[in-house]
Formats: sequence, C-alpha cells, structure tokens
Amino acid sequence: MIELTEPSIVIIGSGAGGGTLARALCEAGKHVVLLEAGPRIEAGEWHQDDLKAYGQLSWLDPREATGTYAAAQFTPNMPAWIVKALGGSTLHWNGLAYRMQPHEFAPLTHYGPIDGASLMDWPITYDEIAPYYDRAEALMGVTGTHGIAPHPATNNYKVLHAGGQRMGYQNISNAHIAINSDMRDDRPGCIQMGFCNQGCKINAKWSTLASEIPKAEATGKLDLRSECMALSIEHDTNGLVNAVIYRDKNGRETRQNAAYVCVAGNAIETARLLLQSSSATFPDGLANTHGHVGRHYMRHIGAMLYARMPKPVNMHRGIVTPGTIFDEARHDSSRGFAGGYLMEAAGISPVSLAMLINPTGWGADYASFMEHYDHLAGMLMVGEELPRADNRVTLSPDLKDAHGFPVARVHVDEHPQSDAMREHFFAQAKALYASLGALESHTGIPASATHNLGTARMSEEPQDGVTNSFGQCHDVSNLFVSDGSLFASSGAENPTLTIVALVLRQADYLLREVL
Amino acid sequence: MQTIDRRTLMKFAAAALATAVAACDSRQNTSAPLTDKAIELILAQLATDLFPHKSVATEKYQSLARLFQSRAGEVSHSLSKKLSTPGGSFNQLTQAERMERIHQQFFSPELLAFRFHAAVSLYSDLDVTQAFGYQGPSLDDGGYIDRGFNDLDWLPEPS
Repeated sequence: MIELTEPSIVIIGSGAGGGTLARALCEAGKHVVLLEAGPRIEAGEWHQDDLKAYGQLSWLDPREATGTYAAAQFTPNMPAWIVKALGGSTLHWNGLAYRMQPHEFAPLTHYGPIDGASLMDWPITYDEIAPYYDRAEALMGVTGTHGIAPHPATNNYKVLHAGGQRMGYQNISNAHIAINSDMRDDRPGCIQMGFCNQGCKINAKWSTLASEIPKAEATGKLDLRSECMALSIEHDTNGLVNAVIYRDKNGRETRQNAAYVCVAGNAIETARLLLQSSSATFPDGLANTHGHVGRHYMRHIGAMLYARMPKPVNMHRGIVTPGTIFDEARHDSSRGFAGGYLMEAAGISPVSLAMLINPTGWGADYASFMEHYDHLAGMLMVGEELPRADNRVTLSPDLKDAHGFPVARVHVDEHPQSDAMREHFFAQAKALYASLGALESHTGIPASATHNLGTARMSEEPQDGVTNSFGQCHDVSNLFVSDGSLFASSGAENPTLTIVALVLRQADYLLREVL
Repeated sequence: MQTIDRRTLMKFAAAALATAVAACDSRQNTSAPLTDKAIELILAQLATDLFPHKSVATEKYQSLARLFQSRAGEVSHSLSKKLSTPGGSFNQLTQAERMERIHQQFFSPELLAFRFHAAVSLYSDLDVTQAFGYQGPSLDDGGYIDRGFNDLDWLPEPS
C-alpha cells in the first residue's frame, strides 16, 4: 500500500494503455498506483448475452453527443461504447491487431492538405514504431507473428474470402488476431465460442485484465485501486503535476501525491480530465497551452452490411471478427476520398443486428430477413476518419455527473468525405455478397464509437499538439498521456495494437530518461 | 438477471422515450379514454404487425406490450389513440387498415420508441431467436470448435 503522501507514479486507467504501462514499470522495479474508475469483474462473472454484458461492463455514465453525426441523433448520451471495469476496453474488444501502414503516419504529406480537416504528420515514423509493434505482437500473442498459428477459417470468413476473391481482392487474411490459437501465456486456445465482445470467458483473447495486470501484481509493486474515479490533477507552483484527486466507491475523496501522472482514461475521459484540471496557470485546461486538448477527435468511419445468402452460414459460431479484406485500405483518391478502409467479417447477434441494421425497419420483409439469421453473412467497415479541429471533447455547460463535475460533450460533424467512403463500401460489400448469390442485403451505420482517438495528439511542434512522440506533455514534463488520445491520425486499422506499441515505447523512454 | 436486461433496455430507449413523452398529444379526444386492457391489445397487435413471426407465440407480443405500458403509460395511451380511429380500436381494424395507420404514424416519436422496444425485446429473447438458428451462449457446450464453426461446405476453403 503506497502512502497517499508519497509522490508516486500514478496511472489513471487500466486498459490497453494504462494496464500495459503498469506492468512495464512494475517489472522494472517501479512502484505504481493504478487508478481504475470501474470495478474488478473477472471472467467467471461475465455473461454470454449481449444486453446483460452491455449493462455489466459498459461505461454508462452519461456524456453528450452533439453535432450532425449519427450518435447525436441515435445515442445522444452515449457517444462511445467503451468499458468501465478493470481492463478497460480490452475486455470487449474484438482482438484485431493490425499495424497502421507507413503512409498513415504521414497523412499530411501523402494526402496533401484537405479543406475542413486538421491533417498533421505524426512526430514518429512507422520505422521508429516497428520494433515496438513487434514487441506488442509478442506480448499480446498475435496470430501470424512470432510463430503463432492463425486460426482455422470460420463460416463467416469463408463467405468473405470467397466473395472477396470473386471481387478480385488479393489481400484477404484471417491472421493478426490477438486471440490464442493454442495455449500460450498461461491462457488457452480459442474454442470458437463467439461472444468476444462480452469478455472472453476463457481468456483466449488478450486483455490487460487477463495478462498485464496479474503480471504487474506479481511484482508486488502495483497498488491497484479499483472503483476509484479520478476527478482532477493538481500541479505545483512550477507547473509540474503533484497530485491526483479521486473519489472511491464509498464517496470518499482522496488526494494521492504524484511525482508523475500518466493519463490513460480513453480519449473522451482523458480529455475531460485535463480540461477539468484547469488552474490559473492553465486556464484552458492542464497541458492545454495551445488549445489542442479535446480537439481532433477521431473514431473511424463506421458502416456495416448484412446479406441473406442462399445456404446456411451460421455466422454466430466462432470468432466474431474472424478475418478481413485489406485491399481498400490503400490511399487512392480516385475513389473520392483520402485514406482507406478495412472490410472486416463480423458475426453479430440477432439483437445487435436489430439495433444496428435499418433502425426503422419493420414488417414482413424485415421479419423474414431476421428469420433467416442462420443464412446471414456480413461485415463492418473500419475507415480512416479525418481529424477536424472542431470535432472535439469539451466540458458540457448543461449536464453534470454524479460527482458534480461537467460531463464530456463530444461534438462531431463528419467530414464530407465520410459519405463518399461509406457509399464506396456499401457498393463493394453488396457486390461481394451478390457474387455468391445473396438474395438481399441491408446496411447500417453504428452510432456509439468503439474507437476513440486524437484528443491529446502527439506533435513535433508544441503549438500543434499536446505531447511529444513519447506522450510527454509539451508544457508539463511530468505529465504523460498513455492511450489512443495520442493518435495524430486514425489510419484505417483498429487502434489497440498501436496503443500498446506506443505505450511500450513510452515505458522505455520513462525508464531510460525520466524516472 | 432479467432486471439487468430490462434496465439496460430502457436505458437504450431513454432518449426515444423522452422525446415521445414530450411529444404526447394532450388534446382531449372526444371518445372515451382507452382502458389498460384495450391499450395492451393495441400494442400487442402493433408489435405483431411490426415484426410478424409465425414462430413467435402471441404471449411474447403481449408480454412486451405490457412491459412497455408499465414503463411508459402516457406514451402507450397516446400511441394507441393515434393508431385507432373514431370507428374502432387499432386491433379491430383490417390488416390493410392497420398497415395504413402504421405507415401514417411511423415517424412519430411514440411509434419509433415502441418499435425499438419491441425489436430489442424480441431479438434478445433466445426463445425467439433459436427458431431462427441462433444458438445463444456456448461455453457450457464447449464453444463451436466441435459444433460446426467451420461446417460451411458450399464455398471453397480459403487457401
């Protein structure tokens, strides 16, 4: 137990960033206080049921979604579907572990300036992060790397693959998934249960709860405090952070002295916490001297298409996202948009289908589509979203949380390119399933974002962002950001692998130069 | 467990319901107010028209109607009034007449809220979806690794 008065390394958030950082620092002999807003809920308590799991694991504290994007219309108090529990969103993520492409680290250079977008190159190149991608893949157990065998093809993946080949796609793969195919890291191989998004009950899927946090605990150097919600970060007269104020499950407020603070609350809460921690020295929010905290918020451009096939598929059996077509991830502006997108097979449940596909559907045709559930195949689009300065997280002037603090307001007006990207995806996906004899197909646009990025972006120049390439705040040298807020662009790839790689690099830097 | 289901369900629908309540038509109707039972019959019929499944027992539609009614009484009453005509209750109309009423009212906040509730109630119910081939939780059966996760045989195997 670390004394509250002992200046400590305090990590806020236990997900892909915070959990990984905690283990790295503890294994190097450092004492760490890890604050997690949510409870510790282990695999035995999880539910293989969409609605029950949603209620158990999700961040349900209200936020605001404003602007013209789908969340503002359909989920106005739930801009993001993330986890509030120890392990963060690594509990409910799909396990897809794709590296960003080299050009995606330099979008301004490769796409050129785009009207209405705040494009900026990262202060780090793919070559500089590559060794950390390699370490992250070993740490997480990513199939297709480090001698780890890919999984066998599931039914839904067979449909994606066959249709993709008929479309002329050449880069179709079911590798690069952080789900064990065999026993590894004291975790079993996948038994194709499905319900990956409800917590993998056998922990075949990597999460910080299953892997990083137990290893940190084993060092004896981790002071883990669950159900502790960080309220604000304080600093001294030199402008260096020196304490974190948090509230525990009994409502008691505690002040933990800090020598270093690493914020890993996922992009919405990280921004909110920094904005909330304003002072005379930082009137616009902690570390917000140049006004970028909360700005350039990105998700990915999302869409989905489900088709009724002429013969059974049973897409619910097995890994929920079993494989992907990568051909459209290239940058090719002849398609009418910058950046690219992934086409990810996804076997979602009937209730998720009903909520996401055609939210105003009804009648005999709709019911017939649902009745053919075991003949359905489908996929998600994950596409690069351009950053915009006014797509941002701010403190709500209207709504307060249970602690009396303003909730996060997430404002998004999608760049016009988003529609062009979706239309391209819909046409390609429809044609793909049609090439295999699909009888009908339906589209959908998810509202709540599962990928949340960019709100404390790293930059070469302090006036362009919040942190340097190590996630160290430009204007507060003992304050770090350790989650997807760091991203200067979204790329077309699911972000978790990149978060882990960035944090491993940050840990090396901390141990080598700071601590 | 069921409580968690329903509470979550209602959190989902909270935004739609709030809109629906705010939009409640407060005009006095010249006909007598509908009884609770009459409203239940109307909403059960509406659910059946929105999501017609021969495999789904009538009791399922009635049960979800009662639940909506218990949580959103004012909206249920307003919706039932809107769907009915001076000539008769919604559930007493012909199918063609009912379809016409639904089309007319579809984008009202009340009907959208009910549609959401009905869809989530039905399609989160394993009794309903097992008839469509969905198999539900699988851990206790050892997952699908030996139960057909890759049994699709009408397309070539990925190379």
